[in-house]
Amino acid sequence: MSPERRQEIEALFEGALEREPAERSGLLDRACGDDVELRAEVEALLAAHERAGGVLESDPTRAAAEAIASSPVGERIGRYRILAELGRGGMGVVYLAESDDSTFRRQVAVKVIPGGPGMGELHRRFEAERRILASLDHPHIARLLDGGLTDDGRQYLVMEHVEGLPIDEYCERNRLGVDDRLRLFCTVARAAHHAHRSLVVHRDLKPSNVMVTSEGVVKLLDFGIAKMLDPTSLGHTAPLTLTGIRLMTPEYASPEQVLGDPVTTATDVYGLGAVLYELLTGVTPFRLVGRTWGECERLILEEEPPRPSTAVGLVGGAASARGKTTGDNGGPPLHLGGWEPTGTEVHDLERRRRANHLRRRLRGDLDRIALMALRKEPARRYGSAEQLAEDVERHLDAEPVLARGDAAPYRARKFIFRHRWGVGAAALVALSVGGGVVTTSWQAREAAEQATIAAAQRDRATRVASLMMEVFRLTDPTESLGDTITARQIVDQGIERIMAQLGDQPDVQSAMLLEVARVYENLGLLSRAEELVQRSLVLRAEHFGEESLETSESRSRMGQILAARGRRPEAIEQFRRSIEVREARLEAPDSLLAATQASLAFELRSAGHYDEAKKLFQAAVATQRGLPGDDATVANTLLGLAATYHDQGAFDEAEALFQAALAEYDPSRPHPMAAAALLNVGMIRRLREQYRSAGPLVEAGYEMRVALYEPEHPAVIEGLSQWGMLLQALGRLEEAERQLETAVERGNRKLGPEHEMTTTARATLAHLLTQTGRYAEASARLDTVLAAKRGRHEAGHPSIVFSLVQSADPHLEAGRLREARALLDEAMAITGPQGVYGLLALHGLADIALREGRLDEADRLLDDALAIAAERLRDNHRYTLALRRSQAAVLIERDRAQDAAALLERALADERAKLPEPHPKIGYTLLCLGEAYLGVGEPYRADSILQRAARNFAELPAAHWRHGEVMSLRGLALRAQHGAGEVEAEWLLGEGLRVIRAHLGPDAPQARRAAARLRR
Amino acid sequence: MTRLLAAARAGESEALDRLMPLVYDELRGLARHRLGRERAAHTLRATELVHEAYLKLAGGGAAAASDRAHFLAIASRAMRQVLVDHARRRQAAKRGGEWERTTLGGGNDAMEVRPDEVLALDEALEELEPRQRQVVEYRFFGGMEEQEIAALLDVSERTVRRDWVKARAWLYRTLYGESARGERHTEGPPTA
Repeated sequence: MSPERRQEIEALFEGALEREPAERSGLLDRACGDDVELRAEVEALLAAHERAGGVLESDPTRAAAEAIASSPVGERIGRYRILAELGRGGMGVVYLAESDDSTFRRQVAVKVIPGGPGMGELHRRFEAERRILASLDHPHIARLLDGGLTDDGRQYLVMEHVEGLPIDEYCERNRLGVDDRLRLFCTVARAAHHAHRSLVVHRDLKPSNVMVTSEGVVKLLDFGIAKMLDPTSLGHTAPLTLTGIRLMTPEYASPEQVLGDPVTTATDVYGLGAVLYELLTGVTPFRLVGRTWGECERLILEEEPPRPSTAVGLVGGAASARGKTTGDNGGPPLHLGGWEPTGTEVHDLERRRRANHLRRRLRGDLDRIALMALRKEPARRYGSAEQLAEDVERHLDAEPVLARGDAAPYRARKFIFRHRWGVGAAALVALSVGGGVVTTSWQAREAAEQATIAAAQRDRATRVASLMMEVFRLTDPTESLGDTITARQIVDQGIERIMAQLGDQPDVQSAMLLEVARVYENLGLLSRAEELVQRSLVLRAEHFGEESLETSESRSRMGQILAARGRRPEAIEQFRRSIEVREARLEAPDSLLAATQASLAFELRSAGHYDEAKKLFQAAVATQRGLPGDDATVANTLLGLAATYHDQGAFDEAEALFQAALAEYDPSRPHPMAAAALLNVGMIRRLREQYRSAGPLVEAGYEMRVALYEPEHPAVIEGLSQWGMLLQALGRLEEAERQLETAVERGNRKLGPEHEMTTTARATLAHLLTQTGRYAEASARLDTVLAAKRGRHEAGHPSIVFSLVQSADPHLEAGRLREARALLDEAMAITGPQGVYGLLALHGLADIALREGRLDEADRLLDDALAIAAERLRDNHRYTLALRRSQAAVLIERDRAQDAAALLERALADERAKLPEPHPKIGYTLLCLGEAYLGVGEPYRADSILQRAARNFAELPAAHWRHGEVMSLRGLALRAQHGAGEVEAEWLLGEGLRVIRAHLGPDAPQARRAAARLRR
Repeated sequence: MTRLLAAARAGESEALDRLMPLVYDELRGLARHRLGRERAAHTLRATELVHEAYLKLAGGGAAAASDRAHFLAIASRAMRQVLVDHARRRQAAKRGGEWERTTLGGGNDAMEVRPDEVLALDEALEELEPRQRQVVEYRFFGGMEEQEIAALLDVSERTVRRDWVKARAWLYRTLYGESARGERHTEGPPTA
């Protein structure tokens, strides 16, 4: 309605009101003339006026007052101010809020988690989880921005605020047709896949968690939040409670969630299936409203949802069209055909016609796609969210889809599924009784595989053995994720009985030995595992012959255990013999051959035989890519190859391969492979100096390993060591020291002091001791590391060079230049001025020259080192930045403080982009920069920079000489500011000197320089 | 406070942004206090609440009358926002389905206006001519007198009254008027 028209209507309305009702008709006759519409409008307004008497006369104050009084709007949570309440449900209350920072106001959604205060361990895990989620970065996933504890101790999460509609409502309101809905859905599935890549599972996908903005942009809400709200999933108790599921909307809960089984990415595939189902039909796969929990459970676990094409029919019918609202008869009409609801009978007819049309559209492909995603058994759904999206896209492109109807008889399969959570001891008992259970399971499996295995009838013994293996796998933490102590008990009790029962069948017995050995291996009981594998090796060599494939399998396993125990030469020998036999006997490489090649390659890489290692890794990858198997295997091999390139200093190739390896992972969690993936990805980021984003991954990987294994398991020791190294890189020195000490101590005891994992942890610990000024301790530890490496490798091995450079470090820091020079000279003699280790040696020698005042020599050495850096390293690599620091120190000595300051400012910016503060390395640069500004004649600036340096040394002990150096330089700065406390200046200079002398002795170069400043 | 009001009146939206939370806080504090004292009584009037809030915030009647009127306008705005938020929340709770439903507040329905009506009203208000909308806002949500509104809008009291009558008729038509349009409205708008 135009404003003019509106005014015209209002004028007539007012005119009419001023007259007696009887006169109004005449007035309107005259004024409106032929304009029937105008007259109708005015009359409608008049009628409304007659009836509107009481309207708007009630005082809404009380309601408003209660609303205000009961709402936390205006209050603060953390640094967020609440603007309004957005919604509430089983998972807490969500508020619209804005951040308090005056610079940058943005609206966010703050979710306050119900329940008591978050305490201790649980809160720590919650925080770790939160940091993982915060690293999720995808345009279609609402970001988790922040979180913490409210004043009264409840946990809260801060998320990107998304304005829009739930995807189902969006589709209805915009009357989207089937194709548009499918396209929208594919975006959702791909976003979910991205999160899965980052090892995050949503767990609660449903239309209300998938928003679409008014611009049509999809945003997934609450990714991974469900896990944080389920205390059992954060701890490591068996997930048998229903707490998690109770929080969910049961219409969208997967069977594994109902059962309390591990939640994986397949769970999200199920959730996506439910969303797709609802987008296509307007109803949920199961209609659960008004049912008891038991009924819901039965439906979700046992009933197939009706095909979408059948479910559409239900919309036309009167009853219960929309499952999720109670007492809602009919629900909003579907607009799938893009039609307008018009009411009454015509509407119903049209609706029925449209429903028929839609049914035809869904029949076939879309029925199959939705039902495949919604299958009961996680393993039989789409392998990933991406595969689901691809199949939908194939349908859109009119290509044949991969989803197939479910041919296998469902009833039979159900047993396996139920059996899966029967687990362990009970299954073992059933097994020893034999009989019906075993046969049923096998029939089911054969049916499920739809294979021709039945033709090659295996004998009963093999069947029993296979099933027993399955039982053991179930008790193995890699498979069952259960409580390791229970698993171990089962194995210990079962093994001898099984050996006795199978004594007359060496083939079956040897296979059993290997399986049981794997369980022990995964429990970290390596010597017990070695014993069993040895028994199987002997049995097989006797029974099948030395050159048999069976014996080669046992050898491969033997090699793996030996490698795990750090007995490398023996392991390499076993691997080589296994590979030799397999290559000769097999027509095409199999997965075991590839695995053995990869294992051998890992050992060769550690031994420094890079080229052979690379060839083997490449062969293994080629084989593994061609075979069906899990992605994690390929990913692991690629990681090995990447690490080899990295060891050789070929960082670009390494990085490309690391990325390729990452792309292969599709791990579920919590799972040993997922822990490995987290640690590996974290390690990659650490190597690429992305410390901050590495932090949450490594911590989570470590936590996961702690939950999965016994404390002394090598996997836990490795996790400790990785986490410690990262903490050290992050400058969190106290925490790092604790982790690394534990890693070294457990490594010494469990793996032996010479084991590589132990020496690596010890070397890192020594580096940390150097940083914190405990030079003698550091040197003592590095001596043993160097000795271990000299024992492990032949002379001249790169690993020895690195160890020599590391050993020089505490001497350099302590100003004991002679000792440092001896070590660096030896390193230089081996490596020459090339490669990254050459760079490190050159740098050490340059620092010595600088300290001894031979500036030209220092310059020359630094130039050589920088040339290597330019060729091999990124501009902002920590080694390059350290070289720049030394370069600046030389410039200061040459009275070119201005140039030094410029150089250091750049280095500082690079460092601060990578490292969190406080961090000792930032402190080093600031210290140098402060000195440069003193040289430039800007004492004010120098003083404030030096104070910042001191803050960055917060983690260093008070008696550390660098604190003394800060004081001494600050003394100079104060002295240069005329009129500023002269007494304080002298005190700082004196005290600084005292600290340095106490730490390093009076003859250290640092002490001499400080003394010179005092005298100046 | 007075300075913020002056700035807000001068059209500085930032000042208004800073003022709104203050007003909101004050209203809430008062509401809590009053509700605590006279839980059963229905004596709480918008006028009192808003005026009391003003007196407290402005620190006595020293400020100019125009500031006071302006404050009332802002308070009316805040009240409207409060009611709409509240109604929307109740709607969301109602539509959330069996498993997510939680009772809000004490459970007894203190709302004199139905939530769907508040939301429909909120939407319908936006369709009105601006001055009519302001009149409704000030009078209904802010409990202001006609003469206060006239002073604030700088029009005669008669104009205010005429605007009120017209606005009410339009609103009634939109909210409860004949035909399918009304049906749509009673369903309520979507949650944001």
